[in-house]
Formats: sequence, structure tokens, C-alpha cells
Amino acid sequence: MMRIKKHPILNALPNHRTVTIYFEGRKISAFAGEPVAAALVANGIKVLKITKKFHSPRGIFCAIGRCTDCMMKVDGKSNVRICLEKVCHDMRIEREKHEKT
Amino acid sequence: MIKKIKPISAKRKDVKLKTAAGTKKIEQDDRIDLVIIGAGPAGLSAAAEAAKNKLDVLLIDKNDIAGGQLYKQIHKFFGSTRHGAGQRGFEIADLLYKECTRYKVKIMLEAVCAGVFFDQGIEVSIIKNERLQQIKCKHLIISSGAKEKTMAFPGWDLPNIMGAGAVQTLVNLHRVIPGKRVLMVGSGNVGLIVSYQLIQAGMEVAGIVELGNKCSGYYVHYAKLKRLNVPFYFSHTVKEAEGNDGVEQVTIVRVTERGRYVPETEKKIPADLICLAIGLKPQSELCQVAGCKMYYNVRLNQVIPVYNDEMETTINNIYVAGDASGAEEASIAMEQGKLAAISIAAKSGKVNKRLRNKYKTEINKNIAQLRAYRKMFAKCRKKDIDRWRRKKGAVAVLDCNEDIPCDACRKICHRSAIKMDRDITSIPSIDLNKCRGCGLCIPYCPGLAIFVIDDTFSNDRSLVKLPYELLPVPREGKVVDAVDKNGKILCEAKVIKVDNQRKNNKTKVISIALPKRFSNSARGIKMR
Repeated sequence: MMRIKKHPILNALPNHRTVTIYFEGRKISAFAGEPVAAALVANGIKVLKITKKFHSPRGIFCAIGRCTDCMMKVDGKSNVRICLEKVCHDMRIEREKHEKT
Repeated sequence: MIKKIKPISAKRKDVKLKTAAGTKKIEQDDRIDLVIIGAGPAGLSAAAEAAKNKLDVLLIDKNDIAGGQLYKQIHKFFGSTRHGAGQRGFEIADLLYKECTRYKVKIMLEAVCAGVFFDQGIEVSIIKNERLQQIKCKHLIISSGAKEKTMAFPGWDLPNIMGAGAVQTLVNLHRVIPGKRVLMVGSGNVGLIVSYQLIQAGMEVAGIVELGNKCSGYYVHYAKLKRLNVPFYFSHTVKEAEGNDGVEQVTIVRVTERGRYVPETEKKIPADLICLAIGLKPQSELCQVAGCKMYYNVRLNQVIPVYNDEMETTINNIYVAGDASGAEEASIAMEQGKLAAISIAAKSGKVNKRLRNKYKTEINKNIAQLRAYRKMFAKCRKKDIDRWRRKKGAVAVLDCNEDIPCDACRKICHRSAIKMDRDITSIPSIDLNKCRGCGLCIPYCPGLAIFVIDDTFSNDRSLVKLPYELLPVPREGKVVDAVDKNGKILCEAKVIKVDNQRKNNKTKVISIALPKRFSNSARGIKMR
């Protein structure tokens, strides 16, 4: 887990409720209420989508819901900006599947 | 129910309240006095000021927490102590938010403003809970902030190339680490501050790449990183980023003054995160949608809405404040928000004109002061303190060589030993007759640029007190390395005291004892 537990300025990491979410069917643990993007970064997942035309990988770019580079399929719903979407229990996150053109 | 939306024509410039054939007056009761879009420093201070003057205020923000980007800022702010200089960003956000709740400002969070229309005054479309709703208002302040600029190079779309704000959000707000070794692009204040914050979070900064031939941020931030031995690549730019599923290696190259690549100067740097801190541009789409006149501002190098000395745009009753009116800095945003709120209060008859004019001149003067920063990078003052004074005891040294708009040290010194010639932009100077070396100013300097040297500590050793904001914190009695301003190890030093009082606000003050000849140049410590 790549989380900052000790920090010279910020207080110690508060005790969040840990929930389980599924990334491409893989079980990962996350904190309830944090954005999905943070949960994926904490589990070392960088590639969030593969572009439609050139099939190149994309990751988080702006993290405030402006750039749409982090759009994924969340619980069957397409094009969700995961940097704003909050984690809840049993969430299923998938990369968008594009047929080869 | 969603109302039918009238398309606005680009030609419309001056929209006034329409009264139905001049006979019937519009019912003014259902309209809110003031709607503010964006709850950042500008929006919050405008809301507080307007509500204080008995206006009915609705504050709208996209995020689930009011405070905008202030919540990511864990460094101490510069500026005047009136705007909370010396306090950390999230503390300033808390203060502003508290002020808003005290004056009962209505705050609508997780709501996105989708457009500005004109129908019997101003109408704002808000998307909340996936529903569109129209809110009518008499006045509107657009304080939507700024967005980050980006740059293109081969491989710039790889994962783990992020804006500096994104890295800050992940690291400081969500407490996750997106990469271990970071290459920062841009050495403005944002780049320098974020680099230091990443080091505080335990990441490694592989280097800071800057196109110009000198650091473009404040010297004190540069000095903080220099002390930690962070390499700076001036006159360099990123040529290429390589990697499969994310950045693995970055190629940087030297550039000429005109921006051309110098051949055979490529350098490959392994890094798994590139952080782009190459400036901000105002997020003024809402002003454009409303039909405000925009222009290119040469000083800021940004396209911004035209506004007058009361922050009103070319459309009546629409105001701008903060970074949306030109991306600058939080203290200026707060002042601009206040100015807009006071002008609106005066327009609604809640504040009389004399008071308004008084506020106006005062705020405009403050903004001019905050903008008066001049780059004086090469100029350094004499560092040696007078010999006679050092024989007498401890004395503070200010490593602040620039006209930074900041007066935190002057305010905190209760012996008034720190003086500034003119306004808050002047370089502070120390009155050696008054200074007793108490070290109260050390943790209050936002640039960590104040040190206390005591040559009378013992026969062969001096005591140096320095600020420290990193982990691990040394224990008392341990031996560490003392480093100079360039991060070069000078000698070994013994930690005498670690002061972590509550009033220091998490900045530790560390006292080290070291040989007398190094006391003048010791500026930091390095753990063994």
C-alpha cells in the first residue's frame, strides 16, 4: 500500500473504514469515502483507460474532474470520472473496453 | 421542472433588468441578492463580507468541501498577516469557512454551474444531484478559479504525468503516493512549494527543470530545496518521456535563449512521475458564456475578463474575483472578493458610498502592495553579523533577500526588532540592539529563512537554531550533519534541543551545537 502514514505537518492518518472494491475483477481494499482514483493509486494502479483510437494508456492528470482522462466504468455505468466518484462497498471498477478500429 | 432556456446572443453586451412594459414591477422577493460561484479564497471572503453587510448570499461549489484549493496547501502562506500570513492554507480555509457560517451564508456544495442566462435579471443554471435548476439572482460573482497549463512533448500523455495540483491533491488530501521519484517541470512558486511538499511526504525529487536561466519563484523556497540537495536544471526542458505503462525515464535537454534544443546535451533521468507546474490560466468560461468582454493581459500573459476598479465586468451586476480575473495568488483573491462584495453591498444600499470608497481605496492599495514583488535573485545582503554583536549573545539572521509581500516576522517579534522600511513588500532588517535571539520568529517565517546564531554557547562551539519541517525528527543528544545553503555537509553537529511547541504550528525548531567557524554558514541538518 502506498499511503502516507506519517507526515511532519499533517496529522496521523485517521482510521477510515476499510471496504473492498473490485478492479477488473481483482479484489482491492480502499477507504470508504475517498475518491476511487486515490484507492487505485494506493494499490499501485496507474493505467486507468486505453484510448479508443491509438490504444495508448492514460492515467490521472488533473485529479479535480476537469480533464476526463480518468473516466472508467463504475458499477456498469460508463464514463464516470473516478477522481470525483467516492468509494463505496463492493464497487466494481473496470476499464472502458473499446473494440479495435 | 426545467425551464426553457433562451439562447443568448454574442452581441448582447449590456443587460439590464427588464420591467414588463414599464407598468408592472418585477417581484424582487424571489431573487437572491448575490450568488457566488466557486468557494475558494475569493468566493469565501466575498460571501462573508456580503453576508456581514446583510445581503442574502448563496455560495455554490463543485467540491464536497468549501475552501477550494486552499485545502491542499500545507505550507505557510506569505502575504500580510491580515490574510493569515504565517498560517497554513487549510487553516486559512477553515477560518474563512467559519466566518461564512457565522454570518449564515447559504452554501450549496457538489453543485456545478452550467451557465449564466438573462431573464428578468441574472439566472444561473446549477446541476445538483444530476438535476438542472435555475436560480435567479440580482448580482453574481464569478470566482471559479484557475486551471493548470500543460505542455506537450513526445510521451506527454503517459500515465503518471500530472499537473502539480493533481499530485498535491493525491498526496496532501488523499494521502497516497503516485510515484517515488519525481521530476518537477517549472520552478515557479507552485513548482518549488509542491517539490518541498513531496519531499515532506517521503518522495524523492529527481530534479527541477526550468526553461529560464534562473529560478522564477521566491528565493526562500529555492533555498529550502537547495539545502536538501535537490538538483536544479536551468535552461533545460523536457524532450521526451519514455515508459510502457507509465513514465520510467525522462530525457531533458539544454535549450538556447530562444528556446532551441542544444544538440548533444540530452540527459536521461530515471523518474516514475512527472509533475507539470508551468503556470495557471483563469477558468473564465462562465464569463465568456455570459458575454463579458475578454482581453489579453500582457502582465499576466492570460486572457481575462475586462473589469473595472470595483471588479464589475462589462455586464452590469456580474462581478469577477480571484483567479478567474487573472491567476495570481490567494491573498489578492481574498482582497478582490471583499472588494466585489462591498461594491455589491453599496449598490444594494446596504453600505453608504463614503464607506465604500474608503474600502475601495484601501483594498486597491493592498492589492497593489501584494503585486509589487520584484525579482532580486542575484542580490544578496551581507551575511556576517557585526563582530561586536556576536560577542554579546544570540542574534537572529534573516536570509530573506527579496521584496516578497510578507510581514509575518515583523508582526510576531514582540521586541519589534524586525523592521520594514515601507510596506509589506520591503526586505526585513533586524535591529541588533533590540534582538535578543529568542527565536520566536523562526517558526513563523513561511519561507523557513530565519535562523538564530549564538556564538557565546561555549568556548569552542556555537549554537544554531533552525526551522525543520521534515521527517524523521532528530532526537536530543544525537549527532547529525550540519549542511550549508547548498546542501554541502560542513561538519558534525550535536542536537541540543528539539522545540515542537503547539504555537510553532508543526514547524520544529532545532538547536544544534557545532564548531564556531561553521556557525555563520550552517543552514540545515542532515540525518545520518
